[in-house]
Amino acid sequence: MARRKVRTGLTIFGIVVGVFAVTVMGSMTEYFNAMIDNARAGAGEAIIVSPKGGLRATLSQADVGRIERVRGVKTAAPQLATFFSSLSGASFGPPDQVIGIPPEQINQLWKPEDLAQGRWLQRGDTYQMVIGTSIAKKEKLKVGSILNWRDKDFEIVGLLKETQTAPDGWLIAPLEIVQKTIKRPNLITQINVVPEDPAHATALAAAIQDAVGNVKVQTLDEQLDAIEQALAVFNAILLSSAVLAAIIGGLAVVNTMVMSVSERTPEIGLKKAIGATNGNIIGEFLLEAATIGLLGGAIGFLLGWGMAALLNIGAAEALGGSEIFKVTPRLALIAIGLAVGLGTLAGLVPAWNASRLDPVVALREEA
Amino acid sequence: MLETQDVSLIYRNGEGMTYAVKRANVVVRQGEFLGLVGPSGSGKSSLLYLLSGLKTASEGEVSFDGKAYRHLGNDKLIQLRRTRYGFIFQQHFLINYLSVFENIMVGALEQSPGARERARALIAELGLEKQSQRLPWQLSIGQRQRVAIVRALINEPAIIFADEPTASLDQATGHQVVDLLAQYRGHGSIVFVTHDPEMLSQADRVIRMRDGEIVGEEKRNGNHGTP
Repeated sequence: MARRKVRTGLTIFGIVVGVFAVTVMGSMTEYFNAMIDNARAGAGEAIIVSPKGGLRATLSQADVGRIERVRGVKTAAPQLATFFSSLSGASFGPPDQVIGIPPEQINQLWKPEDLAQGRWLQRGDTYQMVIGTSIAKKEKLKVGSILNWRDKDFEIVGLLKETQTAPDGWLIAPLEIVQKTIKRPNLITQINVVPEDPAHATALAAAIQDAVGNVKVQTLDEQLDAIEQALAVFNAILLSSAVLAAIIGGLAVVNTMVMSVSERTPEIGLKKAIGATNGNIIGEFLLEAATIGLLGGAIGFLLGWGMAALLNIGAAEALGGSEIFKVTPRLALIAIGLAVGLGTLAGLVPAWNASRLDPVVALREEA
Repeated sequence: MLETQDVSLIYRNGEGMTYAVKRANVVVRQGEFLGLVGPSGSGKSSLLYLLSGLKTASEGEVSFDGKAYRHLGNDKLIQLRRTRYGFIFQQHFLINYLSVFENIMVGALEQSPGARERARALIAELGLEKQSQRLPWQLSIGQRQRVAIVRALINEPAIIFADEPTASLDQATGHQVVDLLAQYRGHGSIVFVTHDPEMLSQADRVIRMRDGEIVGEEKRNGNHGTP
């Protein structure tokens, strides 16, 4: 292999490009997968009730009352979500939002361990907020900081743990204060329902639908399923283009190995004459092909990892703390495994052909 | 130890067939230097391939220590070549990206310290110490062939098969190679194929071939080997 440095180098480069693409694109799909997984893990048993009838449709306190009366509902917590700032620039995640929730119901929806620092909102809080990690990073906020939003000063009393989902960009404040600040008293955009028995969440969702009527009722799992389905198409497109790049790299290995067998025919003849078995010859060429794959895979993965890190830095600056590439051990295994697998597969036919050479015929080839 | 019984190698071409070797009966005795001589196309190399198991006999039998190749099976025949036979060809077939020492170790049965020590001793014996870390292209043609001889000797084979090893060499270098090989006589047998009768001055016995057939046998030196 070492003697054919240029050709082997170019072949490894082909694999590097393919695995680089797999790593960078794969890290994007891993980010989305992680987002879904985290959301699912944190979803608990909540049922989301949202208004039907377009963007301007809203819910009312009367709806909250109707839901509370449905058998099996433990809590119905009204929520108001509004943009933290006017929409500008690109974002790979949900926009930063101010979330209004009655402080006395917080403990029904969130757990104490969801907090990284500080405390949760509590009864009697007014201009206090609990915020997510990415908005904290973006606005350079910590517990005790004061944030001015819509000409009102809010004290940051708690910091959420990182979830890599929407709450990272949330600023949670008392519902009434948020309604007052945006001058929309009584506005409710969503009702979070906690069932008494999580096992019956789906049945309860149907009961709420019957009781309240003109609303959309979904368990959080159902919402995530819908998002996951949409992402699956995106993931498939990303991965198939990356795998295509890797296969092209694999074809370069085929070419190199065919040339290698052709050039080394007398060497193969000699080895067979002095007692190498067909298995020895196959093993030697497969090892060479797998080594090319491993080298290309490892270099491609490392470069892809570096590129993902650079893009994350760029994204963090441009999008404010939002990382969009996630390199995972699973991705490393897939990327490098794909390269080694393709390399070995590509070497299979040339190795087999080499092993079948008649030693006497092979020795008569011009060295 | 190694013998053939009416062994033939036939190449079939459509309806017709050509005898590369025709009903040859040869005995290679333990420790002897046996020469196979004949003009180009006489079948001497083909006979060497049959004797060494590199080619399968179309007719007749080849056997080593009483065991017929036909009954050994491919794996055992490969093992026999690896453990009991050594090979030297007209071309040295050194692997051009390996050093002299590494090329010799290609032929070794195992990569043990003992085998490495033996390789070093043989390198010294054949005067290649200074070249042991060089690559084949840095050696003269004669030195390359000497490396090929060391590679053939590394496992102390029972028989060395040498197929025209002097054909690419000048007379003086050719005789040096023959002398080196002749030194192995007694430790093992040598089957030496050549078209040049002058290269067989040290042979114990010479078999002459023409058109695939053995046409004569001549005893030369005092040592005729052990049957």
